Amino acid sequence: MPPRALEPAGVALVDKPSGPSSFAIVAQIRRMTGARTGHAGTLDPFATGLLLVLSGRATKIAPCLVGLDKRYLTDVDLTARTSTGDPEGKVVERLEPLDGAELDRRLAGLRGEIELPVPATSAVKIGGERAYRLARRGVEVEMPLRRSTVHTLDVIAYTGSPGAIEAVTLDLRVSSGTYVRAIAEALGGHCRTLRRTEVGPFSVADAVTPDAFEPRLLLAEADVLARVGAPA
Amino acid sequence: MNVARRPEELAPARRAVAIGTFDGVHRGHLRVIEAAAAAHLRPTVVTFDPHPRVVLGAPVELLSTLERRLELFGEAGVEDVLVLRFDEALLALAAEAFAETVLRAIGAEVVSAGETFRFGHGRAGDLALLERLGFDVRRVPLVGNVSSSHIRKLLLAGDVVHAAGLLGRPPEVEGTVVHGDHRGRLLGFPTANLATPPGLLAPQLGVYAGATIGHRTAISIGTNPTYGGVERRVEGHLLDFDGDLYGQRMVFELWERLRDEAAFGSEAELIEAIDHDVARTRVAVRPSS
Repeated sequence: MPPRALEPAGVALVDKPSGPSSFAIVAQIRRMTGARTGHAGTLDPFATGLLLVLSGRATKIAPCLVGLDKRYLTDVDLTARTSTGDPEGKVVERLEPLDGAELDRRLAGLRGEIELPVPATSAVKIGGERAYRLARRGVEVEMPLRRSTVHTLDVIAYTGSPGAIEAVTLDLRVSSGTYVRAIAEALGGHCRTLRRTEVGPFSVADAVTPDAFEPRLLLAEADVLARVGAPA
Repeated sequence: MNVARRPEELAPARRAVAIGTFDGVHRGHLRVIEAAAAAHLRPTVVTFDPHPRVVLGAPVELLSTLERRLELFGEAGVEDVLVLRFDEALLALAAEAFAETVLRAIGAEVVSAGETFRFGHGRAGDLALLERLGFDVRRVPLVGNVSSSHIRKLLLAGDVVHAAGLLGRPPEVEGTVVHGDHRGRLLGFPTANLATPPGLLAPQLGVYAGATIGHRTAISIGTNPTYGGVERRVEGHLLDFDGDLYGQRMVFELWERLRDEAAFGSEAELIEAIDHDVARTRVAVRPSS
């Protein structure tokens, strides 16, 4: 296979739909450009929202983008825990709706510097094997803790009544590498939906669907680096 | 973004609907829209025009025109908007009928709204009713002191910085550029005179620093007292701009209130004051949310 083209070069802001993997979106963009293509931080298949897709020569600036803070919207179902922390797993526990005061107490414990176990169905390697493969085989392992920073965590909506909350919509800004699914599990529920609304200075409001992508929408490398405050 | 006036104009889809009047599209309103956007369904807004309070005989001065509201919905990622005419017929519609003929008809599965949202004849419908009818309801609590009425009070007092904090962006005045007295051009400060739509709130009279179409702008909201004027005028002097704006719709952002309007004894004093306004506009800071 010949080396992939270095042009067109730049960064695409793509609004990923629910369903395809981040890799499938990258492959779709690559089919349109023929260039070397990558992304700067994966979204789970069920998740939607902002994916930074790097094209051509701009693939080399990935290290400047992967560490950016992220912002998410998520619907957390507080009445069930699932094996994966998302809607794709099996329900492992049914729970009573939560009182608002108890919810506030749990949320308070999840702000700032926190340490949570990495979800069992994640891509981290345990003893040389992907955790999700082990989980699929039914191998139970002690998951490592991941340290992250939750800058803001706000309830923007709830379902049910203040004394019996069934679900909450959260708006959260977190450091890179934070598993939102782990936060949902720590609250005592699972993510029903997950939407990434910001990556560093970039907003999903400026993103296009994969089908609407055109090479002329690529942001120039130098502009992207200037916006994230990295040396060009 | 598609804008429909009747439910049947919207293409069939499974929708997450944010419903409300959303005058000003402030931070609280944006949360209602975000709560809908968080569901993996087609994000849709159902809104009302004219403002229900105008029809109900308790009119308020509005923070935004419908046109501006629609632009702001689009910027928030809304795919479809249904603008319902708020009239006698809508007022007479029973709450259940509204839920079925509007919300169910357009494919709403998730409905998000402010916690205290009421609808239907006699305001008898609430979010608990929508839950009983099988909608997945997202209740959005008030965000601190963010309300359209609080923002109106701040603007009437000229406090654009605090208003910006609640809006999530600088406050604005909007209108169409018309011919004024052409006095500014003679003074060396050509201005765009805005005819503002009736019913729209004008912030406290005075001189403001702001911006429009990418140019810093010194903005006067007042009556031109030096020339004995009495009628309210909004005019902006765009810095480093030379061009014809007549007939254009423009949105002026207000960043900072510089001073009260004043009657000056001479044209020389007026020019000196405007020079000073322009200098301060050059260094004004856009308020952050």
